[in-house]
Amino acid sequence: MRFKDRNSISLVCKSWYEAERCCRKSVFVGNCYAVSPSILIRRFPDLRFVTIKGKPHFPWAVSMAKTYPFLEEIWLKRMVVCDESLELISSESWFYSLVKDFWGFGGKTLNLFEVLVLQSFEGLTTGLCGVEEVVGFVEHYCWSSLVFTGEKEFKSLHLWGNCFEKILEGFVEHCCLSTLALAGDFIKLI
Amino acid sequence: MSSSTKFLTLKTNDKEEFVLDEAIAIRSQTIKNMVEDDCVSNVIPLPNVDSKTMIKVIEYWKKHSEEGISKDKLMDFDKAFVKVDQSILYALILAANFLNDAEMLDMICQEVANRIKGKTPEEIRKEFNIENDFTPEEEEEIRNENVWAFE
Repeated sequence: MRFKDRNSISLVCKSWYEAERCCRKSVFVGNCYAVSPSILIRRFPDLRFVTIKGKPHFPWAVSMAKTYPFLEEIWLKRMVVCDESLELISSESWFYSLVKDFWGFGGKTLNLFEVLVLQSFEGLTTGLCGVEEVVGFVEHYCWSSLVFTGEKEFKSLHLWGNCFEKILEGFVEHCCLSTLALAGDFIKLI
Repeated sequence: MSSSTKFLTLKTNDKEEFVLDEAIAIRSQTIKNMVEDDCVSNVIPLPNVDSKTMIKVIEYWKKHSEEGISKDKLMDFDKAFVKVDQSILYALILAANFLNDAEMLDMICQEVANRIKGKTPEEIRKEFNIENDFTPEEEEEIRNENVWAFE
């Protein structure tokens, strides 16, 4: 059922509002300035998929990591990722994925996760830690697809560039990849 | 019907009795469990289902148990089956839930969802005869949250 229908349901009466909010699994936050993580969490106690648009800050991920043990995906659009963020994710035994220009984290059972797509993200603040962790995750969990694409505004390409060969070697040696797609600026690196 | 056909007697909450082929009745997981646990020597009471609803349920079960019936025919049957007043639809949901017939429950819930789809809150209230118990302030607050955050 579309968000629009669910939103309509929430306005019908109190009991429908309660029923809807308790069973909503997926939410699209169109404007993260208009709502705080605590409001989201209070209203929807059982979310599994969250998409947040805007320029979100990491506290969104932190609050959600604590509240939603069953969360499978968070997509945060155009997010700058720092090493602390990565540490948080790995310490929570989470995996991460970048899908389109979203930086996403998920808590799905790790061995079910198969596809990693990296596209048009702003990069990692210090980069290297993240790159190694990506390789580590791929090695550990046998992802079957990996897609890299980049755009001109990609800010820390050089950081990836330094260890790109290492990543590729890592993938070839350790992973059972069936798809490896490269596009945009990444092609120039090889 | 072969001589080995077993029949079950189902008794609804308004004391009506329905004699039904066991093979059909065990479309209900609830009844199937009772049969498997060997506790159906006499009459099976269905305290949560009335006879009017049970007639519909049996109609559905019999149609869906017909041998060699085509998928198209079943779809047409289902479509016509759910074209009923919402009070009957609700009774069927409760019955399908109690009898634990997932296929039937899904089908009817889908019909309820179809009746909600694309409607405004006002139209939904009208369709389902629901009174709006929000204060104007509460309604406004949720409306704002929906528009600004969750759309």
